[in-house]
Formats: sequence, structure tokens, C-alpha cells
Amino acid sequence: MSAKPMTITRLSLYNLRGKPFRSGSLMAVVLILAFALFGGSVLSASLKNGLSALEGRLGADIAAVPLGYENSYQGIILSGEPVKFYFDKSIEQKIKKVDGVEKVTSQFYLSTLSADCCSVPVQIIGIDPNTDFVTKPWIAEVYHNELKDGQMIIGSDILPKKDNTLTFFNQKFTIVAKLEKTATGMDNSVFVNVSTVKSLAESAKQRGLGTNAEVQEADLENSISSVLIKTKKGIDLDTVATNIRRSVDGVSLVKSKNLFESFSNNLDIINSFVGIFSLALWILAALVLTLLFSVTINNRKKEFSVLRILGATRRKLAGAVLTESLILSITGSVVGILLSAIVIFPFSTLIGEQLGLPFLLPGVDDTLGYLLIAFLLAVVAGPLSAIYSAVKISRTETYVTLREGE
Amino acid sequence: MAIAVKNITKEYKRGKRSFKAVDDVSLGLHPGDFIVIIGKSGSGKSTLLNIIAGLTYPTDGRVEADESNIFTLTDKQISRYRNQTIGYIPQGHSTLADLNVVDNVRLPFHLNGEKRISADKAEELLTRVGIHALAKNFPKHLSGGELKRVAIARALINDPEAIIADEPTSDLDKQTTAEVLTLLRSVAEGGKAVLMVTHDLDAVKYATRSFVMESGVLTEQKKEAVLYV
Repeated sequence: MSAKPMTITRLSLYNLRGKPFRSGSLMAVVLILAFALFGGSVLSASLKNGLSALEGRLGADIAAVPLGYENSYQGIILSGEPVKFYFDKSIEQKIKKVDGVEKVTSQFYLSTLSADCCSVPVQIIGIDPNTDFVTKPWIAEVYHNELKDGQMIIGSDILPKKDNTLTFFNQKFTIVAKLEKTATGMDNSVFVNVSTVKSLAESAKQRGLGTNAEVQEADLENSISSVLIKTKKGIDLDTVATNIRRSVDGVSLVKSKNLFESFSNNLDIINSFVGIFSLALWILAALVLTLLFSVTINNRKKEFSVLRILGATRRKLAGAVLTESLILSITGSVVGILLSAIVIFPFSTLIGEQLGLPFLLPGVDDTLGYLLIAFLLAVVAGPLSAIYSAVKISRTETYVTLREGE
Repeated sequence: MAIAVKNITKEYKRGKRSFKAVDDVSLGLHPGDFIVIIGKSGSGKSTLLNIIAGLTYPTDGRVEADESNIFTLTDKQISRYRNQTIGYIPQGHSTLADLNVVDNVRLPFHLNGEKRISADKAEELLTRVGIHALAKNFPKHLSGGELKRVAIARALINDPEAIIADEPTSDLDKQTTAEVLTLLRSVAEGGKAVLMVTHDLDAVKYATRSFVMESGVLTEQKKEAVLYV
């Protein structure tokens, strides 16, 4: 025999348990709301994070690549799509002399058609340690020394062998560090110094291993793939780009801001959509809950009039309605957020791929923040929607409700 | 005196016309009284009961409990009056469907914030009304008579001074009606004031005092001469 006091909370729990369909329907509304609020905010934040990570990794204001290869360059940055393109090394010095250019560095790209490390071809990026200003700041986060010949830093999606090495074109490389995930093409790239990548390319070329016409035809010693340019402060980017085009032939220029612009615009649209959708859903959920609570409470008039007859104050009656709505809201919110987390976190990579945008889940602190906000917004929807019914039932003449309830 | 009803009048408006559902009624409820009010539907007997319970406010008059007019009390105070001073047995089935029998009975005990354990007391009352075996059953599994016994046990849980019953035998067969009336009579004999309204003339046999209510006017009847058409 239960000996616990029959409090309003206990009474509410018994009521909810006694009407599983009614309770389930009300809870489902909050569940959907919490699912959408949490899922939407995490998705939105992940896209924002992805774009920030991409922005942070670029470092250069302008990238100069062989004429016609601007899309291939974007492929390296955004999706890690392996590419090989080369132009003459002298272009680096030509660009350096252009008015408005502060500093330049070059990179050399080589892709593997097959490797024992990965299920997909890998982009090998050769950096010039003497001039590099692009990768140095974020490589320094995981590795403080200069990259020596035969050493390699790998992106977060690359799986090393057990002995911490990787083999490319029959050459073994020691992995000295692994980068943090960025949700960009960098995650599927490896970084070596320029002399290593060139000797690797030369070796591959001589052995005919997995190389294509570009590699075969290139004078590898005097070739580079891209020149990354930092412009002087206060000088307009477009002006510098125009200056480069006038001074250097055979190059295509990719401006970082343009690279971002389309994504940034897409992201703004997605964020606006998520915001408007969340607000609309919240209002809709609140209206549906108001209606459901109103109908439900109306059907329970007799029950409330009995409580009043037995000595419940008006405040207690309102409290019973609000307690029930709070219990439903809390349960619905917890389940909704859990389901949302189950869908989003394990499948974040897939979601990112499907969206075709840089997708980087927020950190634990931010996630907890979104969780808390989604939880509070979803939880508050229940009691807020039940206020009207709670006030109405507590103000109604008991005698009248008893008669109506019969 | 447990409760004193003094010159209660309740007027309602029907269109432009007003009429008195209760007309200058005075009544005293004393310990041991089993007062039965007989009247037709619409005679004002349920309205009078609801006024005594503080559920409806009168147009005029007062109901005194502990020498205070209950209509001057705050909602919290009048709720406490309903919870502690009177035990109300509403018309029809008034149990909460989602609570089992014992929880229904002990519910009023906790409505005023009482935290003490009440299950033993509830079981004691269920034994007294003869349905202890049904303690864990839910109302949907109980007959009309059993539900009425639950309501009586529930009305007694806070040991009130008066029991007010609104047509407690209206939907019961003759034998169950007799059982319920006997039970209410025993409650009165136990020192409570019991006031019930009914259509059932047989109830008068169990009463210590009986009244007829017609057009809001309450008239006491000699036991052997109940005039009721």
C-alpha cells in the first residue's frame, strides 16, 4: 500500500499515467519541438564552425594557381579532392614584386591514386618552411618543430599505420603530428616539406607509379602548384588582384573572400531558415498545446470540481494543471533532445557530406549551451500554453463545473 | 453546533425575471444529527448544499462555522473549511479514475499539505464502510454502491464535524440504498452531523430530522407526516 503523501505532483503523475494516449500526444508536441530546436541549433552552429575553420585555415588573401585551375584549388580547400597542377616556380617571385603584395609562399600538390593509408586518394601538400605563413600558425598548434625530410603531418581523417608511418609511392613517412578536425579538405590531406614532396613526385614519375600527364610533363624541380598571397594592410584586395593580373601571365586568382562569400551567403540563408523555422515551430507548438490543454482540461472539469470540493484551493488547481504540463514538457524535451543527439552526433560526417558544406560540430561547452537553450524553450512552451486552461479552471464556479462535468 | 445556516437566500436570474432558488433558509447542524432534505428536482436543495459547502455564494444570509461566516473567508480558508470541517459527498460518481480506492480515500488528507502517512487511516475507513478488499482496485471496477462507500470513506478521512451528501442514493438499487443510508446513519451516531438531500422518501426513516424543500423554502416535517408529492 502506497504510504507517500498524495501531493499535487504525485496526483499529476497518476493522471498522466492513467491517460497514456492523451499524455503521449501532448508530450509528442514538445518532443518534436525540442528535437527541432536542438537539432536546428547544432546544425546551424556546425555549419558556422565549419566555415570558421575553413576561414582560419586559409590564411592567404589570394591564391594564384595555373590558369583555369581555380575550381580545382577550391576542391582542395573544401573537399580535399586530390588535384595536380603546376606552373613555373618563377611566378612566385614575380608576384612578390607586385604592388600591394606583402608576402608570398608557394605550395606543391601531389595526389596519390592509391595509398595504403586511405580508402580515398590523398592530397599531399608540400609547403615551403622558409616562407610559409599559411599553414604554420595551425600546424604550430600540434607540432612546434620544422618539418624535416621524410616527416609528415596528417589531417584528422587520415588513418596512420600502427607504427605511426604511412607509405606513399613506396616511400615510408614518419607521422609527427595529426591536425584537429576542420571539416574541410584539409582533413583528408597530408603535409610535408616541399623538398620531400618533390622527391616523392620525382620518384613516382621515374617509376611510373600512379602519376598522370601533368606530373610526367612537369619540370618538377622548377614547378609549384600555387602561390599564396598576403596583401598589405589597407590596400584593396581587388586592386592587388588587378595588379597581379597585369604583371603576371598564365595565372588564375582565387580570392578567399569570394571562396567564402557563396558559403557565407548559403549559411546566412540556412541560419535564417533555421531561426524562422524554430520560431514558427515554437509558436505552432504553443498554439497546438494551448488547444490540447484547453480541450483536455475541459473534458476533466468534473475531476477538478471534485478536487475543489475536497478542499483544493484555486491556486492548487492551477498548480495541478501547470505541474502536469511541466512534467510532460520536461519528459518531451529530454526525449526530443536525446533523439536529436542520436541522429546528429553519430551521423555528423554524413550530414556534412550531404549538405556539401564544411560541417564541424560545436564543442562540448557550446553544445551544452544549445542543449540548455533548446531545453528551456521547449520546457517553457508547455506551462505557458497551459496557463490559460489553468486560470480558467481555477476561476470557474465549482458547482457549475460539477454539473457540466456530469 | 457544527454549522449554523442563517437566513440564506440565493437568487438567480432567468432572462429578465429573477427567482429564489433558496428562500430565507435557516438550519443548525449538530453532532449526531442525521438531517434529510427531500425535494423535487429544481427545488433548491442542491443549491442549499453547495452554499453550506461554500461552493456557491448566497445572495443573502450567512453560514457559520466556528462562529465565522464562511463567506468572509479567503479562498485558502474556505478551502480548508471544505477540507477539514465538512466532508462532502457529491452527486453521482465523484472518485478520480486514475487513483485506486485507497488513494482516492486519502486524497483529501493531503490536499492541505499534510505530509503524514495516511494509508492506515484510509484502510481503517475502508474496513468501516465494508470495502477493504477493494482498496487497490480502480473506480472503473467498482459498482455504484461501492463507489458511494468510497465517497463516504473519503468524506470521513479528515474527521470532519459534518458530512454533506448530495443525493447519495440516487443511482442505487433498494438494497444498496438501505446499506448506504445505514452507513450514513452510523456516521451520525458516531458523533458527526450528517446532512443529505434526496428524492428518496425512504431516507426519512433513517433521519433524526427531516425537511421538505419546495421552491427554495425549507419546511421541517414531523417524522410520521412527510408531505412529498
